[in-house]
Amino acid sequence: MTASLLEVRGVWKEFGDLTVLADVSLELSTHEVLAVVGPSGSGKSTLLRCINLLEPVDDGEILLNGVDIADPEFNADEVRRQIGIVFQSFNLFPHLSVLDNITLAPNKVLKIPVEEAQVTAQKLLTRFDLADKRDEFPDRLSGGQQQRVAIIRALAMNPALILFDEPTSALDPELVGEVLDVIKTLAKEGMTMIVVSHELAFARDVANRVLFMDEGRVVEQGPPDQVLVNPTTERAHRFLRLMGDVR
Amino acid sequence: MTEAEAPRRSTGMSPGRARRLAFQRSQRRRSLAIGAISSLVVFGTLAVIIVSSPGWEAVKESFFSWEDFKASFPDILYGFRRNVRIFLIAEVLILIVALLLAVIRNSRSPLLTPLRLGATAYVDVIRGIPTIILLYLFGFGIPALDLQGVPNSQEFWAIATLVVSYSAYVTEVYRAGIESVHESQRAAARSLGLTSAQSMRFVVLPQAVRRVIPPLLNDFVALQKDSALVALLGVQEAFRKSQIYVAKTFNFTAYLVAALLFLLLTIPLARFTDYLIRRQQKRVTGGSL
Repeated sequence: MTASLLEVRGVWKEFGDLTVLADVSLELSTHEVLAVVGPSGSGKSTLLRCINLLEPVDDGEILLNGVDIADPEFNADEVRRQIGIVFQSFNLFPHLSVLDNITLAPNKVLKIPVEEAQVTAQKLLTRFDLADKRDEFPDRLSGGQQQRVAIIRALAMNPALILFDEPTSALDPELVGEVLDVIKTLAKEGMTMIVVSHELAFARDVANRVLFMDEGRVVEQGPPDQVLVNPTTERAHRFLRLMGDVR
Repeated sequence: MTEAEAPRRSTGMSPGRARRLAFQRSQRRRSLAIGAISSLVVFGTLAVIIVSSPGWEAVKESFFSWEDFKASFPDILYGFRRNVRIFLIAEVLILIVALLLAVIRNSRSPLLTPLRLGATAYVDVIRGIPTIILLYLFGFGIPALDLQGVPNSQEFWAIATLVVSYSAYVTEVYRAGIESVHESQRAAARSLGLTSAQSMRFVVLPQAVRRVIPPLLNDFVALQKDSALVALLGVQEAFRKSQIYVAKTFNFTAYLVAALLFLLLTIPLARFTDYLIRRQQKRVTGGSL
């Protein structure tokens, strides 16, 4: 068996006539942070949704600990509890308090008693400076706070891997930092993550490897200093110039 | 933060503020006056037309007789308790049945296909049949079958008809609520490992139900009134009681008594519904802007 935690092999995804992922492959070891960059519509978000099995792939394999979870016969609910995802638009549950947002899945899915799940949630909230928000409802929080709660909600399931789908794109510029800081902290602690982001400086800072996608294909991948500073392809060069250099 | 220097609002009564306040006050007075006068003219004219009509004396006698009001009131009030009971039982059952049907109609499980088809057909058929016809079919048809163990109490079939009829409408109200919950909520729930059923139960439904409470209450205002239809089966409720009184005395005041009792129940509920709608609108605009 392979040593990788996650291995995506030749994945294809089509929406009607539109090919969104074309023969995408990647590998991810435990404690590794992979940043996925590329222009809008390049298939980055779809890739994450496929790994999380929110979208079924049309062809290819996705191995989690050596088991093909993209097999159509595989129980998707089992996989999703092991892979957390943080969405661009937070997607907190508006009818539940911060605490209930965090404890819902541990309680219902992992069958952890509510009191116990609350203790864990409380610890996480304290760690990320949100302890005073535990009884608030999401619409009373700033975007940055909501996204941090969403990250905690994913963490509370104790996932093997967390996917970040442009976690700061919906935020006011002044709130981006607090969310990126949380992700950095997680990276330092050895959390395995795939981060789709337009924050190239952040990607360079936090990622062990960077994957550049365009039109559903992996155009380039490697260490951040290579892909984000000296890319070999003309396409990546053009993208980096437009995004403002991080070099 | 330096908050000391810039005051949050201009203090005291500056000439500009005073002039604006005076203008607003005179505007308010004007609209109040116009509203009062136009209402007086419209309703006054109506009253004059009615009171001066050739048949007014006879109508006054047979519809607005205080003696008959007093005489019929106790009986009709007693009957009205039946309406309230029918309405309350029916309402609870409708809420449950319709919720089940809505969930079934929204489910994607192939196992539930026959149920889903049945629920769809049920909603289509029942919504197309006038309640009054259903009432005859259920109230007279089923008891006439003389089946063993089937109750033949008229009140039972009255409630059953209301439940069958209104559940079809309320199912659609629930369904609209379920579909109004954004797909990303389901995605978030599923991504945490919740099953499809758990996502529905803990994430989608609570939000959906909250959103449809005002339209649900609207339907229940209608249900309260339609509880008078069951008089046709001979159930001794308020309308039936007033019919009996009218038949005995040839005075129609009893209908007015029944109407007043219904109003006593429906107006507060309608006002409450409006209040909820307003509150919800405020919250929606306040939350998203």
